[in-house]
Amino acid sequence: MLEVLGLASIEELFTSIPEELRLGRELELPERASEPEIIRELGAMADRNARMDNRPSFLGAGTYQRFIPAAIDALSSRGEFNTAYTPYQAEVSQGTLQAIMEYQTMLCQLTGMEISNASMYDAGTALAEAVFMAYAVRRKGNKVLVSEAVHPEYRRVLDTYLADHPVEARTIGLENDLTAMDSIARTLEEDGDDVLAVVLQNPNFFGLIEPMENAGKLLGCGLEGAEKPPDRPLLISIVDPISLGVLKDPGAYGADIAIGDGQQLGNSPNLGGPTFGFFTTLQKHVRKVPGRIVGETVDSDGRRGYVLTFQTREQHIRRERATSNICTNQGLCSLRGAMYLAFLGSHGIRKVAEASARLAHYAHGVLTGLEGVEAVSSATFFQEFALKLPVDADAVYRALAERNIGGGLPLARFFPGRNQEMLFAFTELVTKKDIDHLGDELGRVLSEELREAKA
Amino acid sequence: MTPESIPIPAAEATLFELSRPGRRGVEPPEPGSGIPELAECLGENDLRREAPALPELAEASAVRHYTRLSSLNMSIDTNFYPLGSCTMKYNPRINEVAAGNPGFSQAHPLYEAREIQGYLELFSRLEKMLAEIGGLPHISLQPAAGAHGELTALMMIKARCRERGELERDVVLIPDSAHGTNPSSCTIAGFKTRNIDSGEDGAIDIESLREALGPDVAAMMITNPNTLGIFESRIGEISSLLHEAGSLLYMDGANMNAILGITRPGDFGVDVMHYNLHKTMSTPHGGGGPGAGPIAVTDELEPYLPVPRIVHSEGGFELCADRPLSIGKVRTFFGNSGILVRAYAYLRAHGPGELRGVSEHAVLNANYIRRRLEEAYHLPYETPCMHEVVFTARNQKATGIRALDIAKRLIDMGYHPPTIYFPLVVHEALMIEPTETETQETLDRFCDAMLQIAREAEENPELLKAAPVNQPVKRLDEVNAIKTPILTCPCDEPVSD
Amino acid sequence: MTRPADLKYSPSHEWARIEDGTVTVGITDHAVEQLGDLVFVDLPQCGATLGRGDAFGEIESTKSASELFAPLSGEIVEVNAELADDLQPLAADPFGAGWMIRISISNPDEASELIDLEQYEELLAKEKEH
Repeated sequence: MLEVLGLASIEELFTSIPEELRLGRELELPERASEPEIIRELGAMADRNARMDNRPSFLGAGTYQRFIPAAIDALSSRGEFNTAYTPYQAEVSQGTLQAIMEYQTMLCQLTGMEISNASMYDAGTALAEAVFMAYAVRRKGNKVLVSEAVHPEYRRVLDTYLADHPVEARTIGLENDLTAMDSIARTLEEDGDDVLAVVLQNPNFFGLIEPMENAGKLLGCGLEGAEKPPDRPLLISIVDPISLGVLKDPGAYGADIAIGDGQQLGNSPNLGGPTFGFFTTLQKHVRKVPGRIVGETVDSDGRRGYVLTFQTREQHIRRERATSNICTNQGLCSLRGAMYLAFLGSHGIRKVAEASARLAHYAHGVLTGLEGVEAVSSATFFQEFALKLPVDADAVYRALAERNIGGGLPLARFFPGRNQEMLFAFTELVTKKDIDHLGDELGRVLSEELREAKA
Repeated sequence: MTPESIPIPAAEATLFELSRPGRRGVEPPEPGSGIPELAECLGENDLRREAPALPELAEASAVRHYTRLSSLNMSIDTNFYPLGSCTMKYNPRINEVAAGNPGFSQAHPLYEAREIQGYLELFSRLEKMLAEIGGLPHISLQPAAGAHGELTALMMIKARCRERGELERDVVLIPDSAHGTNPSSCTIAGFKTRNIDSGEDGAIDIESLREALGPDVAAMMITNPNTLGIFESRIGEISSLLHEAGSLLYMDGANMNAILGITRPGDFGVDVMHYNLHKTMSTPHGGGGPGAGPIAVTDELEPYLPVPRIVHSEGGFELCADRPLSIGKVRTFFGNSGILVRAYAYLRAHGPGELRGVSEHAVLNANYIRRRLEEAYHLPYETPCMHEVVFTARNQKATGIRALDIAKRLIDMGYHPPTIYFPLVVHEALMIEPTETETQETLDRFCDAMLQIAREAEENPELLKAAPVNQPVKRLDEVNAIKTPILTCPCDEPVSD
Repeated sequence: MTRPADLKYSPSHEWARIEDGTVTVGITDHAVEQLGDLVFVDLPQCGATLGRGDAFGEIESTKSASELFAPLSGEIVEVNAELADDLQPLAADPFGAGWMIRISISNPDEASELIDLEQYEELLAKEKEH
């Protein structure tokens, strides 16, 4: 090839790089490893991580271990999906495009919303984008009210994004670990014009079911045929997609934007990434939506086909005026999400949601029966709840780990002062036996800790 | 075999058309007996009235559906994919095997640091490798994609302006050949943008830069090599000009595949850059992600990096979030960890020599294509190219042929088209990036196809206008897609699978 | 298409018909041709005030989104609402039925900064060379 180019050496290809800028030495990197060596080296590192799948695990807080149909790994790892680029060239990307179209449809069925984009990085960035979109839609007000029961990680991401944005996030406090709706009502009354959106999470970070319909009514979301005030604040609802197998959907309580994390839909915990964020809203907002959207159309022979559409919203066309800067999203993870919903269907998703809720309620009975343990909130929960323990939750978490049990989340990690509280999650992958075992072991751990504390 | 004789794959029915009421797919585990019924758990008012109307398919039908859909895609595994600016190199399977280890995939993001020592060690080693490759000492692995890395960096630059009381610096300079994400990220980070023209040689016009520089400039975003595949030879002068004016230099790392082990952004004056691990480090594009867009910065910018930072102490690796100048978190948890594992595996498979070899061969392959096609296709710039080459469709204009037509005809010949109509500064651009993982035979066959298309453009332009003919769909009506938007599948008549 | 000689033009391809203290604004046939298949136009509400050079709306084809700029300062007194539903008049008759907004002029002196047909066509010729 060098001959064809009339060059004597590879070096001559790089003459446009000034001599003084060239590295002139080898990079200081480890020597190359063979495949078996790489597997050994990475295997040794992997062995030093705790896992959710080799012991009963009760940690959730937004990331859950769920049953993943075996077919998903086989299908999503097909090179035709995994090694394709973003489907800009529609004719050679109909597989990916149709799969996204179906994904968008299923997400809308789940959330009760009208349109969906192709995915966001995660729930945290989806929340930031939702607030930006609300700002663009309402064109009025610069305050967003955010419930304290929104996942603290999502909130942190939102705060980072708002640092240089005219919108300011204001926290709405808790009552019984539910969002203080009175406080929202008061703020709306006092400076309603300034409020562009309200952000609630359901079930909330503590696993509790928020009175979303009350929020919808409060914001004039047009429930039960009520009139929608023309420039009311938007309702942004962060939802757990599995919960929507049984719980009321955001469309039913008048949400304007419904977002969340799609990890539970066919994706392993992966240390929190890659998963995907989903973003659904109403058709009338389509021109303000961030990210890619697929639409159906026809080809020159009148046959059905799919394309990326409303592309003028996006960075590659609108540049500094784009609705978002997102380009690469989490395509393969959302494809797994679509496959998950397709393999489980209406029946399966309902069953997963039901099993999780029923097991959690069984566990609530078992665990609150332990001496010194009590529920933190009296509100209805879905698959997750916080307990107040008689001792420090961090110590309990470690003691449970020693007994080969993945404990719940010590809440003080996010809520300073709540040192004795632990948030337990239950999915269809735990059994009644696991829960009884947890009850026994937690009982033993607590009495040991109490004994130690006394001594 | 002629393009016309390739059998056309059949279109696939949608999941909703394949659905039959009451059909069951994969059954989730049963919760067993002796636990409360749903009605005892949740209130009537909490429940949705109807189950979500998801499709109902037998498992085998759904498997066939997705298998057939996959066959409608072109991909690196099936076709040469010279999509400029996207670095569509072969994605080694070893990366997938490594990341599939349950010790990585089954880790919960809220585990304590001592429970994820393996992950933190991998992150820490990957940070060191990326720091060495870019010549910039500090890394954040958190950003999920290239655009996200850009945004993170711009937020840090903004935070630095605030910290120094220089908020009047609210402009970022952007060359006209830049990726669209650059100006878009600026807006989100609260910056205005100012355009810098490219010169006759396709490089940044220094005079245009001098004119645009002022006390209101916070930074300049460059891509080097730039999106024309040209190395900015005057980069040293550019960085000096910026630094003398108190501004910073950002580099979009989309084109790192051209300079691995040859030159380093940190050494040519870059203050902050992002990597696209899904380009340079071979992690799969996944049909649109997930990727990873780590950023690398100088000592001066280090305090602003997102939290948590990984620190090494005697007891092992720890996570440090107590950093008052940090911009905070740009996404939840750590980043696209699974992608970081794949990138690490790639870097372990390439020692210093092999990594330099990647760039040498990427540049060699691009120049080989340039030489073979330069008589048939117009080159807008004489400057030698690096890892990608930009042609235009100017020579084909006489018969009414556009870059789009050439791209579509390539599909007929079994190739994924190059990037077209980008960069915007080149009229009718065709941007070809072969990458290092292609053999000379593949490049030759591709060049032969391109030369045939050039002949066809003269002799039988209608052939190009009608292309593609061997895909499940012909050219799609994008106007109709917007004027009559259908954004969810209509649930029409069921069809049989 | 022959371009009307009695109109004023702007380098950003808007035309302006000035009569009785108001100016009617649209985009030229050249702009329409460059944009390609038009799919959407976003026009402002009546009553909004614009400065000369302010963006008053946006026009989109499938692959481009361009801002529309006010040639003169003033208050918007009329908007061609028909275009919101159907862009055909704009494509077919950009200097007539495809008009976009009417502004009540607040600073008539600014009109001298606009160019006439001859200058506009010189500009187009130069663009073509490039």
